[in-house]
Amino acid sequence: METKQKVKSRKHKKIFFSWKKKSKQKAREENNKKPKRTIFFWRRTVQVFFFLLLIYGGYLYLPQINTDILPFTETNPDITKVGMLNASQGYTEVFDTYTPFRTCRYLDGNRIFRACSVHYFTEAPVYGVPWTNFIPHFLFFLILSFLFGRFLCGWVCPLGAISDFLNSLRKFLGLTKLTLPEKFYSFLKKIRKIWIILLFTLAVAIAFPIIGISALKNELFLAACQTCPARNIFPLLSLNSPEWFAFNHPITIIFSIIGILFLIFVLLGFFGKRVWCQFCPNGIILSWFNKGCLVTKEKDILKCTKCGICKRTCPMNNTYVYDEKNKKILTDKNCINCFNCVDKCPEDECLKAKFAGKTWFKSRYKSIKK
Amino acid sequence: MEEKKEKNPFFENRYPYENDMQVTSQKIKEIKESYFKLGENNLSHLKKTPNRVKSIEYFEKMLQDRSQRVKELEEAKAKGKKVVGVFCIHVPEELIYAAGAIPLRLSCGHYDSIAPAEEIIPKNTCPLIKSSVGYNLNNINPLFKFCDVIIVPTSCDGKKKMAEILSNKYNIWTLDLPQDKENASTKEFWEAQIYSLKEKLENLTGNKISKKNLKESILLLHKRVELVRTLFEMRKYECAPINGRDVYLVMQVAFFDDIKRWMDQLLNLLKEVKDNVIKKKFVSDKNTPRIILTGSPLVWPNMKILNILEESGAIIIADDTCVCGQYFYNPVETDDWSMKAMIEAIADKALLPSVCPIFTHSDDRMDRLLELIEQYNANGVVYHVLRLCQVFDFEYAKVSKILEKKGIPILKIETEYSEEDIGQIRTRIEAFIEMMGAK
Repeated sequence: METKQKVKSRKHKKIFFSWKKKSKQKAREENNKKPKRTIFFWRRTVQVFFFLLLIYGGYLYLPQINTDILPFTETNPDITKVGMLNASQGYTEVFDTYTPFRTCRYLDGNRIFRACSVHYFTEAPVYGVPWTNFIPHFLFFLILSFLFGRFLCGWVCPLGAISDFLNSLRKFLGLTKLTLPEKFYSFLKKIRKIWIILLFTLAVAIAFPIIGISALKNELFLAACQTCPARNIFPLLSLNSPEWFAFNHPITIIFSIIGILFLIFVLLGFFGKRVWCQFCPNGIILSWFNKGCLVTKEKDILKCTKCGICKRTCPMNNTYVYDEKNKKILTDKNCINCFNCVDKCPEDECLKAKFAGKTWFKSRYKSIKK
Repeated sequence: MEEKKEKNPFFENRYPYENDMQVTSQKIKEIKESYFKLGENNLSHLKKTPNRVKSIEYFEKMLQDRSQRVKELEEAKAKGKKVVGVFCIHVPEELIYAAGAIPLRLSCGHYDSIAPAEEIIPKNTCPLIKSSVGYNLNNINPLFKFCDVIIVPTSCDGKKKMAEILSNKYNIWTLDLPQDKENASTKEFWEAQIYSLKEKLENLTGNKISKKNLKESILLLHKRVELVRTLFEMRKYECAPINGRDVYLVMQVAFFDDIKRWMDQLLNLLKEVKDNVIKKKFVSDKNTPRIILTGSPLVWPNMKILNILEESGAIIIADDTCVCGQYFYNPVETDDWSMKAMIEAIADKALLPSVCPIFTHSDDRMDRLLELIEQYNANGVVYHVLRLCQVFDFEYAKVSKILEKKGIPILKIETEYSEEDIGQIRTRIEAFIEMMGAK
């Protein structure tokens, strides 16, 4: 009787342990089947984080960080009295420096950074900022640009984030996408070079006394800021009043109208593609760093089945990822490194997103979820 | 003018003529019997395969006995559903399923069906086209009589002219396939074709293709691609768990079978194959030469070369043909579920990843072939050309020179459907396999 009981208990133990083994194996298999997060998920998280930080971050009452290594010169009060370009509550940002992505000085009193670099580069010639003050900010700008290039446009900039959020809203509502004609994009690409040269020329022209222009010094100052869409939409979003128009002078009226037009470009992101980013002066400056920066993409030509999803999903209407049939490394001035192409490519390891030589994201085949 | 077009939405033939094939019913019966016997012969060759999965029996049964499918199509037609006959892979099946119709691929590779067709189609034509015409129009194919319309893309010369010959008696739609993928205006042109096909399907079936229907059918066919890719992944192991001929049988059944049942059966097959891999039950061993088959498609019941290859000691682990390897390989990828984006994605999928040699550039095909050779660790390539198939013949020079540079052996086999040259082919293939084994 005892031996029978012992045999029974041994049998039960065997069955129990083998069941435990099977369930552990099953759990391991199921864990392997769990889909990894897509690149879109990470990008959306980073975009939301920076959007909240840069627009609403000033409400956090963070202490101002004294950055003596980035010295700053006070503004000339005569010049800043144009319309609403006053910084009414003084400079109270956390870091008093400038970033290559859109952080705007119009977020009165609740800013993390002081302003964007286009503002700084069009403002510095006017004040005659001494080199000891200019070089640290310029170096900071160069370091960020060399590291990331236009990756900042795709993952960090709040204006780009607004376009992308509107696109997600449209997909949620189930509305159709609109494609603007090719001629419009090629027109924008031609005009943007002229526009940025004009902005910098105006900035320098104000500094040196030229007859006629220096009389309009107050009105032409900071043309980049006056025509920027962020001037209107960021204060609106951070629950302050927006500054649609400055009615002082015909020139400021013209600039404000151009600003509204550019704001419409930002809002055209509702229909699927980023339109403002084709034109943005900050973006153009960063695009010069795109070829040499540490963020690149790689393509394996043989693995590509030419399905065309990379050019259909690109928010900047680039076709160079699809067209490239010879080289391995892909860089382009117009690419904001959003990695939509790597995300959607259905071939395993055909496209890779790299930072500093290490692969961070790879394309792989995945089933579509509803 | 517009009224005329509405009254006749099909292929316009202003000089129709009588072109019935003069075949006696006795002859038709003989051809049906020879089709059945050839199928039996093919399947008997496969019975000696070691470690063969049992789920393949469903596919064997469906190939030999189509009565179940005949009944299903009768019921479907009684309910008012339409059946659409299809040639080639350039016709988007997503639209056909979304309109509530049933697609049916009509190609055939039977030698005895050629003789009646030579009355209406010139002799010097691709045997696949002659055989398809003879097989279908004489109702040797029990499923052809249910077709309401046949869609013929203008891929090769033979298919293009066959459309007009068929239009004397049947309803035809042509799909104007652009021949140059690199051209700037190709995209608009091809998208316009897809939009007009969508309208024609809506008018034929009376069902509107809504966003919801189209999304469902895209997801269903995406699932099918996933299953097929999983099956192909299994063939990458050192020792293959499934024969090249068994995969060929699975794909040939998809020409006419119900899609959901086919996918369920394929899922069972995949489970068994995975089990076999875990238990280390393989069909070939490490030293078997691995071959990639490329060239003109081999349609059931033409398994001549496949039988010779696999019985002479090699195994076919991948192929580049439009009936097996490339048939369900490319999915419709879209990130936006609006109608415009879905149609764009469907149009791109039907045209861009296709490696058919009817396009002006063959570089995409070279990329695909080189990638297959690397991924599946192949030892050699067999280039099959059907006699009088010009396009594949033209591309042979480039393919062979490039593979020579890379040091990969290639063998060209030019043949037809008749069984007369089996001896010659067997000698050449055995010599080729020996050469590969010696390396």
